[in-house]
Amino acid sequence: MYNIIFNMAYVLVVSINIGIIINNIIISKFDLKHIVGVIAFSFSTLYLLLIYKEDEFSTPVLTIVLIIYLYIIIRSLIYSIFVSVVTQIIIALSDAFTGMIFMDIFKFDYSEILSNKIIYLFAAVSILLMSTIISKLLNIFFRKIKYNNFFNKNNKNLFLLVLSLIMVLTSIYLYLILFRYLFQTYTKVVVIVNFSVISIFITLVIIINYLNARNYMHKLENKYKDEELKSLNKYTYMIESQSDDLRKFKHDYTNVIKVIGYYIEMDDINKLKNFYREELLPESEEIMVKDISFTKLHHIKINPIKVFISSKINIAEKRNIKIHIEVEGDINEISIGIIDLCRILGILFDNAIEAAELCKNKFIELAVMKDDSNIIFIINNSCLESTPPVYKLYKKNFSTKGINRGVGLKSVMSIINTNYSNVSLNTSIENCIFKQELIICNFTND
Amino acid sequence: MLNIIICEDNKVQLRQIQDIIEYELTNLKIDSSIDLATSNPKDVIDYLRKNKEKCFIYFLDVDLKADMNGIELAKNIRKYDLRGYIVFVTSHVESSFLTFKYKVQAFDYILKMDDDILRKDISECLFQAYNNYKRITSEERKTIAIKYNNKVTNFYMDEILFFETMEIDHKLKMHTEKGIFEFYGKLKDIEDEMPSNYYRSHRSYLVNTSKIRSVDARECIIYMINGDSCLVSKRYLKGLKAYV
Repeated sequence: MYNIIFNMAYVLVVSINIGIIINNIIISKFDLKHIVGVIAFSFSTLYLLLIYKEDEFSTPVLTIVLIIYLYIIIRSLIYSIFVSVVTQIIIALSDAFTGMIFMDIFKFDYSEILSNKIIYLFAAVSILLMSTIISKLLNIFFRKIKYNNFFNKNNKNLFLLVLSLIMVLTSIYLYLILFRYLFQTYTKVVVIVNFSVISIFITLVIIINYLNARNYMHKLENKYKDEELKSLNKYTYMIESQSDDLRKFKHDYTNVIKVIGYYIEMDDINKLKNFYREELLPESEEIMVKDISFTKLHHIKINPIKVFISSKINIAEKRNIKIHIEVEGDINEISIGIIDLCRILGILFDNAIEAAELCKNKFIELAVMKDDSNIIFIINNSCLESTPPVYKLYKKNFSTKGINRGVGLKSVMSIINTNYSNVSLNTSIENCIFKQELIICNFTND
Repeated sequence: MLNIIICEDNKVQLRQIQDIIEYELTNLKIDSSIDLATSNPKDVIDYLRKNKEKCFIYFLDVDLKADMNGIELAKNIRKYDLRGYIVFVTSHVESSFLTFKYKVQAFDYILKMDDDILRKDISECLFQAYNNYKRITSEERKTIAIKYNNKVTNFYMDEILFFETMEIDHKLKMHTEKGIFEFYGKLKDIEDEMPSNYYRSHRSYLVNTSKIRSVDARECIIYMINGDSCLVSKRYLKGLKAYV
């Protein structure tokens, strides 16, 4: 009777331990009822194993049971494996640490710990406390390095990390079994060595993964820097051609002054009127309109974006689409990857240009603005009345341009949904104007 | 009725705008009056504090040379009056209208450089604003204010088709007849705010039953009147029948 109560209490402590760890390290949707589910499953599994005296296998069996349970809820195999394996590793670490404390500080003998139920239970509780601390620290660490993005990607790095963690767990487990056969009982030294080896091993694995990830980041950065250089060159070219235009303008201006002067000398008002109406006025309108758009972009201080938008504006202007640009405030930084932003803006602009071209009144309006917590891009364009409703444009395989084209808007949604929880896109059509609102919420650094 | 508030720091222009508005109100046979005409933006805010429930048309100069410029005044106005019509008065073709429209839901802008254009713009503006207001109040085109991305925007209730949750926590998508809008919120909270003709047909969908065209009970799909579709889960199918 006493035994049963003790066993249940022990298994309960371990199950709650697992529940606490998972609650602390998991970052996706996990309510209280799911945690209770975890505790319940762990309890049943461990208790069954205990009754059938197979508790040697509690670690692997429990790991697998948890993977299955987590997968049912969060539907990501890799992440389930990650959470389950890390949980077991934390428990192993806490276990080793507790063992060390109990033998060193409390001066218990290992055999004492095993035989005295109260002490055993006490050890379980202190393992729980230890793993709570470790998992809480891990939680803070995860938040700092924004691991949520990392897990949504399913990239090769993640696979490598999970694989190495599985190796860690398996090694620890086998190694403990080995230890138990070699040393019939644990002495102080053995326990300390135990703890140190586990810690070192875990640390090594973490370092390797970190270095690998950093290497990958560096490669990406270099690629990005190359592209930025290319964009800057394009921008320089545009500035130079503007400078050229200005020179030509000055030259033309001197000629115009000469002509006007001549007509005035000759006192020929009619020829002067003619000259003004037929030649000067039309040309001057063109010049006025041409450069204004481009200069407004100078408030965008992020070069790749500025250049990218100005090249799209150029294309639009060449196709006789009227452009209206507003940039309010200086845009210095933005909480979205620059390459992703350019891809999204590129698709939105291409769509706007193609739609506006089909209309009689062709125009595109661009506004870039910021408020306390967001940066907003608005792209409006004139469109035909026969433009299909918005929801159709986002459906797979839909295109106004024929079969198998028009993957643009769907790509935009997939870029946003897979990588960014702080970006929203609002699309609407009203009075033959197609409106896109791209809202990027700033990450606050807290 | 919808009354008018004017704020313009140039006293001559203030008088001019006032006169034109008074003339046009009579001309267009609109039953309204100018409640306040001032050069000091703070007067506008004080007046609004005393008249919190009312809706106004505001004519605001963009370049107020006071502590508050036109757009800041507009932002402060929006704290008290979410549905009023804000019209900016400017001296050059407005280069920031989209920004004003987004940030304070500006209704229109008016150019003051030429007297004839000013008169024409004011007249058209008053006409549009009043028509809009009449439609909303008399035809009971109710609007709902939805807070997204730190600003509150009004949407016509009768254009909303359904709300959908996205995979990302707390992000909702609102499908309307005009388009699709994303904002942060919980479907449960929206469900509490909406009137009874909205039905939670699925864990991820809250649908405006008055906009349903047909329901495919076998595939568990609801088709809306513009062709858009959302889902109904098997256990909510029965409840849906009560509405359709």
